[in-house]
Amino acid sequence: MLQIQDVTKNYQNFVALAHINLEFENGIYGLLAPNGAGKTTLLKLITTLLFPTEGKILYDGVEIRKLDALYREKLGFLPQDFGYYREYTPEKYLHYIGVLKGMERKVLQDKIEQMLELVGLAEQKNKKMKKFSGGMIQRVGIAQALLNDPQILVLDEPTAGLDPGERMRFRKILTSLSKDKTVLLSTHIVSDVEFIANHIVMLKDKKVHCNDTVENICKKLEGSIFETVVEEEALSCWEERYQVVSRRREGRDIVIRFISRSGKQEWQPVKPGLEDVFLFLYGKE
Amino acid sequence: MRGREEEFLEGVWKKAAEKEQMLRAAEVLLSETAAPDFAGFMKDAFVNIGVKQLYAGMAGIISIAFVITVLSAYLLLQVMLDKGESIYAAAFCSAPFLYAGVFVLSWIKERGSGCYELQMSCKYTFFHVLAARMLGECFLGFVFNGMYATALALRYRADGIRLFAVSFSSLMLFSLLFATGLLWGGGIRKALYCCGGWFLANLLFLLFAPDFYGRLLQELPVLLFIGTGVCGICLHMRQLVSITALTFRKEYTNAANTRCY
Repeated sequence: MLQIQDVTKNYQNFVALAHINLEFENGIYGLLAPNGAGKTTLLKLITTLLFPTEGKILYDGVEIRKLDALYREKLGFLPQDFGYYREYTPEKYLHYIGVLKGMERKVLQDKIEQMLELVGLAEQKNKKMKKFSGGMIQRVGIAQALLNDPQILVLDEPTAGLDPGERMRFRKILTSLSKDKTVLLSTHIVSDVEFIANHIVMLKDKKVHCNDTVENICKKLEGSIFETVVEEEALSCWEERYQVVSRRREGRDIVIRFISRSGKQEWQPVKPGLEDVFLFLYGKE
Repeated sequence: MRGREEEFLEGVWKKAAEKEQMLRAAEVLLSETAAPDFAGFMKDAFVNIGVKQLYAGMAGIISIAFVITVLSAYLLLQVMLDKGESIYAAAFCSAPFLYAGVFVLSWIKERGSGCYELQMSCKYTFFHVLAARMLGECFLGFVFNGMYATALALRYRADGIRLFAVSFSSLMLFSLLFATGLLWGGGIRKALYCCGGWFLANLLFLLFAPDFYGRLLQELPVLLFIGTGVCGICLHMRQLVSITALTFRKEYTNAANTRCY
């Protein structure tokens, strides 16, 4: 179990995170927040790329800075800006990263083949990565993160650059892996986590705003999400008055989905989704 | 019913005691293994990571650095001989060229690749690779300087052993200074300042006290140069181990992340 105990991170005088308390067990945790809210800083603290200004991060009760290499051995990480050597082939690159992860040479080659198959790059394993598209590079990134069969898998914006099919495939991989692993998935794309995450952690004002299941989080907005039909000319008035989550055209009219604390008879109440909560919390940001 | 409750509570206490015992054992184990030593560093670098991976894709960099070093050493020698300097001064000045060249070029390559963050999350971090390469660069410099000293000794009928000793001590003093900059400054910039400082100091000596500089290198006992080099190796080994240690990593990462993003 990974525990974050009262962690604060300052960059000189700038507070990036303040008094964060979280506990992660096996399962998928979606870290949702808009850009600049401190998601990446939190992940960097978990992956020992940064050290907390205050507080502790514990893995199975022992501080991760004490565990040091023993902790990093259990870690798989896909950074937001995934770096790679342009002249390397994916196979050579995975071999290099596997060695740095301290994997045994005997199992490494088999594992590389397995990972390349998993991310659909087995046929391109001997092509230089400089010829790869953004999506293919991201798939190499996912493969390296999974290479050492990590106990803690940290993925920062993992679906960036992936097409819808690849996203779907990636979600399936994560779901199958999450039984015996802690998966932390940071994103600002709500659909990436809505259906696969067991828990959602939302950050706001440098703090944890909520940490709960998707169901419980959505329950908080029950009775506050409505749909109604409006004329095109009136749309701007509605947008000024209410927080409009989405709109779709139906003939000459527009159906809007919006947030309101109280309802009216002519408005159709609808079941809130995670995207509604996200927009409710961060809409103005 | 009461019995079952007691049994349940007993189980809970037993589990709590077991966990506490495990945590204590982990603390003891960690305190025994946490302090890095040179043997451990060598094993990590050259057995667990291995030379093949440490220098993977570096053939180009080493070749370019080698060519730059040969050209610079040749030019320096010609200029110094023209000015009436001794070849010992030329050997002393050019000894760290290969080390500095390989380091700077490989650093530029690493920065360009953007692999730093990923490597820092691996068991063997970027600093393990960096320190192991620094040791490798010392060895490369040592071999190159040996060849250069031999060539100079044959060409100019000079004292080959003195030439070798002079370049050996120069290389080790430079390595020490470079690593000190890295460790004290918590960043590569300070190390590069130290590196520049070394070359500048040599240049100033050559320009303003050429007689003293030449006499120093020609008249000081050879053993003193060898002794300086050997002491330099010992201290440099400790520095390399420190580069891989948590304290340095913490200082470095905090220094590198002081800006907000």
